[in-house]
Amino acid sequence: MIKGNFNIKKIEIDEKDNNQKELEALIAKAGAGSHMIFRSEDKDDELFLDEL
Amino acid sequence: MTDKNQINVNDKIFEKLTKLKNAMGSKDKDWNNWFDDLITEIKDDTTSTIELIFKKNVYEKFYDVWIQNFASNLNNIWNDHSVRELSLNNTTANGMPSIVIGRGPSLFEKNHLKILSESRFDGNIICTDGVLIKALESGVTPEKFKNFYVVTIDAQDHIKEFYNDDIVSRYGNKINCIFSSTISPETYNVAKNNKMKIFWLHALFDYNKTKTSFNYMANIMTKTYNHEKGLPAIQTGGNVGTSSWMIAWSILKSPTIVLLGIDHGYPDTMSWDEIDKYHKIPSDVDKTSKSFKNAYPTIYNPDFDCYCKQDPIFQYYSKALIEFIPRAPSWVNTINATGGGSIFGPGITCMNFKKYLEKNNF
Repeated sequence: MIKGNFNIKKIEIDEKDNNQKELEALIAKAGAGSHMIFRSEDKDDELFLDEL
Repeated sequence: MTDKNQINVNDKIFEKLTKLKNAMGSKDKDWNNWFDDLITEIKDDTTSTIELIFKKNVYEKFYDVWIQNFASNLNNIWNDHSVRELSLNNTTANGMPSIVIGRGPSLFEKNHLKILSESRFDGNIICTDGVLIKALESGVTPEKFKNFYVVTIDAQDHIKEFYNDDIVSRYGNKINCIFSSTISPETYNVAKNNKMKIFWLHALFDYNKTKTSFNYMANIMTKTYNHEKGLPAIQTGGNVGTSSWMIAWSILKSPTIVLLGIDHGYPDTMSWDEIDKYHKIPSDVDKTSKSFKNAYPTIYNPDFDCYCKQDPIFQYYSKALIEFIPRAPSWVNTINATGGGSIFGPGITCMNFKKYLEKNNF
């Protein structure tokens, strides 16, 4: 006879995670435009730079 | 509207809402404030997700193209003009108003090109590339409006078609083109053949003050005897409409910028089939799902008292423009004269276009 001592946990599917994944998949399929928003750690640099 | 609107929910839902409100540490907050926080949080969550996904996708799709295009354009950049030259005679004290023209549905629905062509407006016209041909055909020409600009930032070859028309050729020598250093050389060639005057700038995408960013390296390469400091660089906000708004104040020093056809959305009366012609909607999507409602929301524009449908691309664009407008210098006044769309909020004056023209004797 084989004895087992398994910890059985019920896996709860997180509805929020599923919704988020579904949303991300939909957004990815919706296209991406052709340019991107520029983000910088220095907020003053984000809009316009006369000289780089 | 009354100050006591009622929402009917059953006991079970009310109990769930109360539990959630308490769990979020908002036990003492009134329901209005809590709902407001919740809506903002949901919206910010979605728009942040969109921004992250789009950033990744755009990088994957276009980064190499930007570098290749830049290399091909370099010789022309050295020999042509910098947008900095357009700033020389403009100061914040003498800058003229600018009208930025996008090609959103409101432009045609509200006949704004015809209204503009019949006006006495004498400031800058800044056309986004996609609407150039329509604008010229509608009488919005550089013969009537002397300070006429068209902007391109996108890198794809097909953008050349926006310049490939007899009417562009006819007015070409009176039109100033503002081009990002990463546009397709094919677009450049069509514009040049139409005798358009070219002014270059950089589109910001990876500048981080280190010597490893492509923006930094590209600028070093553009430095020549006639561009001693290289080229100025702008935030594009992901699209040519936002780029044009940036150019209006940062380069042309316009104290007033009027937006036409910059809707970043669709009228709520437009069907999804119709919307699909602007930006493709994934064919297998369940339009009743929660995720669809988050990705394709209908929003209320309180300034024009109308509803507006959005898709992920327009959520991405509008979030940025709405964020950037109040961050512009305090002397910049942005007027949304589209009559609808999603651009409203702090720092944005929404006004009927005819009213703007009348008020300023245009």
